[in-house]
Amino acid sequence: MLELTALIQRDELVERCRKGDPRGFSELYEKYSKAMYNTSLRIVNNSGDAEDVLQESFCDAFAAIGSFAYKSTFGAWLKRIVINKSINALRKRKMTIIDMEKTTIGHLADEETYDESGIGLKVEEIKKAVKELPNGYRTVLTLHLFEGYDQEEIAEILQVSHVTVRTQYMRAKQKLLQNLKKEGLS
Amino acid sequence: MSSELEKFVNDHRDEFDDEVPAPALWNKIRDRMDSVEGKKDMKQVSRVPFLYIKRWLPAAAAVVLVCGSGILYYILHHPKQELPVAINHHQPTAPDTGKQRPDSPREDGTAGQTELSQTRTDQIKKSGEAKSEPSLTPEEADYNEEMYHYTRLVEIKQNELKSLQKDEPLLYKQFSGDVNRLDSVYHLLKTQLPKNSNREQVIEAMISNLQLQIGLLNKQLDIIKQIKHSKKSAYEKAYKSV
Repeated sequence: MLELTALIQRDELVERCRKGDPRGFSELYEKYSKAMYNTSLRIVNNSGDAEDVLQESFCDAFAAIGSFAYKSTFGAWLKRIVINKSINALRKRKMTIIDMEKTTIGHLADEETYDESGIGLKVEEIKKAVKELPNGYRTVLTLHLFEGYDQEEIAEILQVSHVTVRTQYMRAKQKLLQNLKKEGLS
Repeated sequence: MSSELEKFVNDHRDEFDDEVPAPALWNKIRDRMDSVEGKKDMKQVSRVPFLYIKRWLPAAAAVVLVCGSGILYYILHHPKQELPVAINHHQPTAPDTGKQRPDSPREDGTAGQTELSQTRTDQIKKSGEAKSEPSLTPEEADYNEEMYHYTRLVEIKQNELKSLQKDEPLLYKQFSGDVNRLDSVYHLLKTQLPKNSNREQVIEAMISNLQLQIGLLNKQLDIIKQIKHSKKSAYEKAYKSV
């Protein structure tokens, strides 16, 4: 995990921004905007919200770049800002993590057995299947599957227990595989 | 939680980041950054005075220009009266030249100034110069008093300006340079004073020089007050927004 890298090198680009070099900011944007946009898009699930999140995140990060303390890489720090803002955007739309319990597959067994046979994995199909997931499942799934956070980190980000994260992730994954199977059949 | 799915995503991670944000987004971010420039960070705040110096330099230069040309005008405008004086100064200076000017064309202005200085007789504190010149006419004594008053004022204001030296060395250098230019004219006039038989005129020129110095110092102090105020409000704004 990137965040656990013991020694974080001073980022030359970040240092330039701190000295007030305006080109530094545009270079930081160039470097990170695409990845951050996709991260946000997977959570909020619509391009308008994702662009709002991106704008807010970069503005906040640039405004606070003076207080960035290299506890993580700049990219990891920025990603946390993007994820927090994406989750807030979701919550503004009145979608809560708790809603997940009421979804149709809430009764599924909590065991780690997935039927992955007969599923031809393709990037486009996975993307489509992720988009069809309910908000709560999608958030937990993308944070682990795409952003690489572990259970504890996700629990902290979402302010829920580790157990909840674990069960939600398993259910989300089952639902995803169901969606993928459906795709394959149709 | 590792499985085929996780492995596949891991291997194709970059391919999942294929969406691109609208190109206009960067412009929006840049515009917003420009509008909140002041509160960005402390380094930015420290750049603010330089912006202000740049903004106020033309104003300060204009003040100096006006004052300088005023002095120049004053000096050039009276050569007719000073010319015979300049010829005269080979002769020993009459101690009471001030009295012997019944036909002075500037009697009105002189009388006005005398009156003005008489109102301040309660704070009389004759300068050493006044005491050392026994040949002073009552008029000249008044002038001396007036001059003393203005010199004191200039001193006080210059001391006030000196407090700036620490915070804004660049601005202080500019400001004191402007004042010094006026001051050098004052000293030039002062050296001419003993040689010149038409003392009254030289003294008047010295007084108006001091008045100009005070005017300039007042303007400079105003500018500093404004800079300090805007710095303070910028700081407060930044503080509130944290």
